[in-house]
Amino acid sequence: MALWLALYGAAAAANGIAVIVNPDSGIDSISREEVSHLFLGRIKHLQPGMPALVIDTLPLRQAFYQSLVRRGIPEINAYWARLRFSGRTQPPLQIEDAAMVIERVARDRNAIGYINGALVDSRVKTVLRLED
Amino acid sequence: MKTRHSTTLCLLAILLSLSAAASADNGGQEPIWRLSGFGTFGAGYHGSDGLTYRRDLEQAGGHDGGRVGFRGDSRIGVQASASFDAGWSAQIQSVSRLDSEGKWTPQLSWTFLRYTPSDTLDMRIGRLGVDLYLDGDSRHVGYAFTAVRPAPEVLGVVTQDLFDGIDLTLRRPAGDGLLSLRLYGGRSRGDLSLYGRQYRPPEARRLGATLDWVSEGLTLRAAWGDTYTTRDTSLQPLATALASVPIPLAQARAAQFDTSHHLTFAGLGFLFERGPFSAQGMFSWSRFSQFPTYHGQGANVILGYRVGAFKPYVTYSRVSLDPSEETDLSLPAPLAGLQSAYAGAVDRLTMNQRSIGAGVRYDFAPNYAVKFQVDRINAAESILIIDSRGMPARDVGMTLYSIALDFVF
Repeated sequence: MALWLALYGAAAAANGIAVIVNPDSGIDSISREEVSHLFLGRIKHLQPGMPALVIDTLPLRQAFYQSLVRRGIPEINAYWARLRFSGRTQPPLQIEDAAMVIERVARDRNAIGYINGALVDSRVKTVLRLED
Repeated sequence: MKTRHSTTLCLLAILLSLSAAASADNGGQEPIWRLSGFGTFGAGYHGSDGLTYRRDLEQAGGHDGGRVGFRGDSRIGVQASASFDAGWSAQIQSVSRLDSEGKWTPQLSWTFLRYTPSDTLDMRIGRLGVDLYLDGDSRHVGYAFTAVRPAPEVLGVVTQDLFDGIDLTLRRPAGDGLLSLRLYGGRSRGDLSLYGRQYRPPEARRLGATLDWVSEGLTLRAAWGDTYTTRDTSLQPLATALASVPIPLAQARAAQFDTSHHLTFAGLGFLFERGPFSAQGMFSWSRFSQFPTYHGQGANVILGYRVGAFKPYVTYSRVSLDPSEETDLSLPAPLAGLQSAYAGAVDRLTMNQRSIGAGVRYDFAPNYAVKFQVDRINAAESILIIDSRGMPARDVGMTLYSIALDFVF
């Protein structure tokens, strides 16, 4: 399992990681800082009045946070422990595979997630691409 | 105890009724409750027979000299949290650890209803905590900390870090980060163990403010807090006895023991994380206004470097808390007992302690970490290190070995 996750992450890194939203969200692009704030729970809205549903793609989590904030999963988990147990916010929803992430983002205007750049299709819109 | 339980029940009743109101506001949609928790199973050993090392003043005990002890760092907490639409959420948290009575009675901690209408505004009501800790706003979530425990020299002397009240956080972008200002106020909660006795401060008002700037790899924090206590009669028997002594200075000293006082804290901190390297520092100033006025400073620095699942780190911390007023008083020999009681009272918070430590954190599985840490602690006076009667230790040097399993679920 660990080997598979590592291989998946490496493959995704080769294609880049696409941060995706719903095409009807009204968002065309989003800065790296904004993505960082959203996925680390510092801000909770995609736009004013639009609470964000933030989604982690489990197999890609290591590569995503390494690329976004240069931190490994143990540091990210410890970070979320700080926030969860002081009631600041809850961590992103964790989904097992990219297909399910695409489905969720495609049906929820408030959702934001990330997938392997090669898997993006017309049901979702790429708003930021992270390279390794 | 009755007051504490009734406050808890009152808090829960308010929380549940407001949760119901929030749910009704949301078209009756049921909130999604999530259960989670955290814990530490920790052991410690030092060779100073007859002395107990405590990580904070709220615990009656800790690591006893000459044997492996599990009481000081072990704890467990459970939490239920719910999210509603329209920006409402709620949380109930309970923590069990060695308390000021030497028991493990679960205590209600972060329990509140929250309303977040936008990213710029956040409000909570219920049982809340002061945010002094750069690694998290609770001293109990070991998994969130790099080291085995938050620096006792700086944060272990902070008491009553919970309060029943409200807070308001305002947030806005600033540069490539986010600037937030948190204002809070309420009634302080918490007990402490001093001089071998449990001490429950009377009703006290807590006010505070925290200014944070958070960017991708840097967090800067300035914090201020004040606890104003009235009707603190703990030293009144001594004051009454001194007032009855026909010596002007004794009577003057008696008049100086006010029943109202402020405990004021100010702190500056930073947390820097870049790749595998992390550094954090905290500097604090404190003042206690009851006679004899105390002034203190504390500092803590932790440096860490992650290598795969391992994160070696070093720590340094120190605290000094000394009376800053004249306290001289010489009573006649027949009043030696009163003289001794007076000397103990004016010296009751004196503390000069420093520690240097090294350790390694091993994240061996998701949400599990083991830490091994060695601390060299030197204290000229310490209210954290106590003897078998609970009295403060003096001129102590000890090496503390700690191992802890931290987890969250």
